[in-house]
Amino acid sequence: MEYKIDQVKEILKYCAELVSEQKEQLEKIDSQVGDGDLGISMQKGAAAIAGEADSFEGNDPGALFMKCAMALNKAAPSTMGTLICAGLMQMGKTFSKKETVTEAEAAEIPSLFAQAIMARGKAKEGDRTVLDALLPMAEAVKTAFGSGRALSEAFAAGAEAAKNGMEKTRDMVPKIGRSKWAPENAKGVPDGGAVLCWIVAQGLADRAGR
Amino acid sequence: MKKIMNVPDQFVDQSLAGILKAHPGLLKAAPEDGRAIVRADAPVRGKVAIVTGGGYGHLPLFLGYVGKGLCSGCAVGNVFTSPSCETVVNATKVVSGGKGVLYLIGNYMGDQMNFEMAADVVGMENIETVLIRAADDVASAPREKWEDRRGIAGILFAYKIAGAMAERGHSLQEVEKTTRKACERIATFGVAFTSCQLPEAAAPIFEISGDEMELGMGIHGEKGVKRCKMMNAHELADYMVGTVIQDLSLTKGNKVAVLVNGLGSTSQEEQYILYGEVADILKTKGIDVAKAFVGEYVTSMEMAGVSITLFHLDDELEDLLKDPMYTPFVKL
Repeated sequence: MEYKIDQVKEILKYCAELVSEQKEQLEKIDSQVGDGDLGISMQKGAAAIAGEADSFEGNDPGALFMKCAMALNKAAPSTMGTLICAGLMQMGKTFSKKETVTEAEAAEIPSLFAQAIMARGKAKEGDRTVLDALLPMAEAVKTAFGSGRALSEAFAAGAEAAKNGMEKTRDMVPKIGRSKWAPENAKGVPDGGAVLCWIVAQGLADRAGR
Repeated sequence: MKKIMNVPDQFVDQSLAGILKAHPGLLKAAPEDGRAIVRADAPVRGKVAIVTGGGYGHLPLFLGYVGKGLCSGCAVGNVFTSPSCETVVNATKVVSGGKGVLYLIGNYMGDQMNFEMAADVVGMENIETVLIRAADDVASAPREKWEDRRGIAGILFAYKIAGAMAERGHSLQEVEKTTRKACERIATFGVAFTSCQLPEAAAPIFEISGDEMELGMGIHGEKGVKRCKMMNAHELADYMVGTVIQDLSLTKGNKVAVLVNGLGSTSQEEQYILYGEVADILKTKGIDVAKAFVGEYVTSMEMAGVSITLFHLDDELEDLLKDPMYTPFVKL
């Protein structure tokens, strides 16, 4: 199957709603480690994405992703918001002037996102960031889809990998961003970006390929 | 906390509105973006434009450096928060004069990412950009990793050099080359005596007792090198300028520009006491002062404290430093 603009919008809105519902959890995690604004900024960002998906006219998913990127960045120009924006911009470029997203292309999306985030934020695996959930997720989705499993199963495997990756950040020492100034606060707490990745991964597992 | 404001979440926009009302002939906002503030005469055709930006709460940094002989435009964020990529894009489009745009910012991750993304966006519309990060805080990384340093008050000199090069009509590559050279030769050391408080926050960012000071403090409450008992002016000058002289490996016969910068609520009287000590130390060491600046150039809301910047000049940089410049906030 292929995804047309309406399905892309629906999946974006679903994931945005899941993120909004987790505002307080994200707030709590971030106030233990960083400056406590992750919940509120991600809620604002999710609302901006849902709003763009609602008002978007046209059938080019690339243009929709680009609009979402800019809206998110305007609503939440925090470090996390900017990193997600970088991922969405990459999707905007990748799917520009196409009318559909194929299943094979969908299976590449977590990798595209991870590459864009690495290019923009200059972090790598093990630095205790969103990448520690996103990279295993990307690998799991690609491997499962590449070995012939259905896209829905591939994204379910991706969500599982994101969760495992997120759990591992509890024991990691922050190497980048503001939390590196107070590494002792991060002990035992999962990285906020990794938690966010797990939330979205669950959303994709719920909706992709169905 | 006593601050002049109406509602805290309108702090930035209402302050910007006041600035535009006060200086209508000098500054304007981009169409439909009150956070993208540019020179009233933008775009200046046939010249390199310079866009800066960052969090609010540091006036005259960043917005105050928009004017003749300095920056062309500024993207303004929330208090201590990066501006959005869209605001950077909007500022860039208004100031672009067809010869490229230099992005000149402080070294902070959020600012860097948003300016890099804006560069991607305007690049698709054939506006060429180059990004330079000023990174002058000696306390935040050693000299061999100077590009990892936080950007603080020394960016003033980077603006001056880039602005003079652009005003003289040099190409983007020439402006970039000389500005990068300048950035490597700028070093700053700051100290804080009290904290500051964000308009939307219930308490000051950090606590510091009455007889203590923080050495090597950042301008957003970032931790310094150490906390110690308050020093007198002579000891303070000796410690601060000594650190910077060593960092820049300055020796007898070298020439510098000096900036003694108040962080928001340290009086000019105190700043000049400090400068007097600094001038004596430099004279003793045989280091010539080409030009001195004393005052509030980069602040941190109402934080008390001061920073000292030395800018190691060569003939080219000294010549550029003499070019005229004017903004509603600063004259150099």
